[in-house]
Amino acid sequence: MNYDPEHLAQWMIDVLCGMEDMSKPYKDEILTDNSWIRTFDPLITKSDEYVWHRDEKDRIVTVLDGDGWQFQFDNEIPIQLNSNDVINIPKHTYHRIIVGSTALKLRIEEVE
Amino acid sequence: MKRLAEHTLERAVDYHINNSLPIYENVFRAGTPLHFKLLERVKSLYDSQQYIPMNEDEEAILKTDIGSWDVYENTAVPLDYPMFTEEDEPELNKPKRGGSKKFYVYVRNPETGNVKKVEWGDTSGLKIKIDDEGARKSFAARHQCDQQKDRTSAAYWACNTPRYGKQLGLGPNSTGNFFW
Repeated sequence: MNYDPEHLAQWMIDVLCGMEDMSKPYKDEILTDNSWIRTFDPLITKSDEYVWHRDEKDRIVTVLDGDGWQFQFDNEIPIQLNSNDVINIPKHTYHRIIVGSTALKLRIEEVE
Repeated sequence: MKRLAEHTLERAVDYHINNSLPIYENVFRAGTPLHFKLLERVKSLYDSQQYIPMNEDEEAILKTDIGSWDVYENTAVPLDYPMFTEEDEPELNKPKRGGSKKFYVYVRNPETGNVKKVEWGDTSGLKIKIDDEGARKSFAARHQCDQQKDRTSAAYWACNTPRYGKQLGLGPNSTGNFFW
């Protein structure tokens, strides 16, 4: 890192400009080709980023941690998420999560 | 099946009340039958004084004809409801000024097929020295602009902003087929 003041100022501008990838409201830790740990942080994510969406493949989701989060399938009422809950999400099925109070950590496995 | 839908509707009303969720944040996905049925149910409860609005905005909505339908050009349309459907997607890949940052663009995520809003650009009043070739090159190098291929990322669009300089209203020196 060059600590030249002008360079440092430009670097700070870059940070403020959002050059880091803020396009995803979560962080992934890859486990295998078809599984990963996904962490959502309610402190850095706006609630409207958790939108209804569908996925290309079937997914098996295991809740590892997180308080106050909910999960909802299309045409159903949201359900509270608790540690060790397992949710099977068929491909192309609308679903969403509803933001909670602490970081939500999920293990996601994609099934062919 | 009808009984199941009725039961789901009852639970949805309870969900809204228990979570202090006004009806304009309808728990069901916008545009689905249950979404409209819930509007209809809450409006009906409000009209019969069995539902107390949670705030002035919700009360204003419930005083309209929301939840009712009429026929327009042989098509049933919901009254007092902003019309948008999945077909009415925002224009894709056309960056515009605005949003929570300086610019935004809608793109389709090729992995999921979902449309996503990408926002980038400083809003604190700071300016990048776009006319300064050295600063531009430094910016592009630091952010590896030549390797930014993911159109769903803010970094891609930030790096490629000059390509869209004209439509974003940037000056002539800030427009062209180059990175910052």
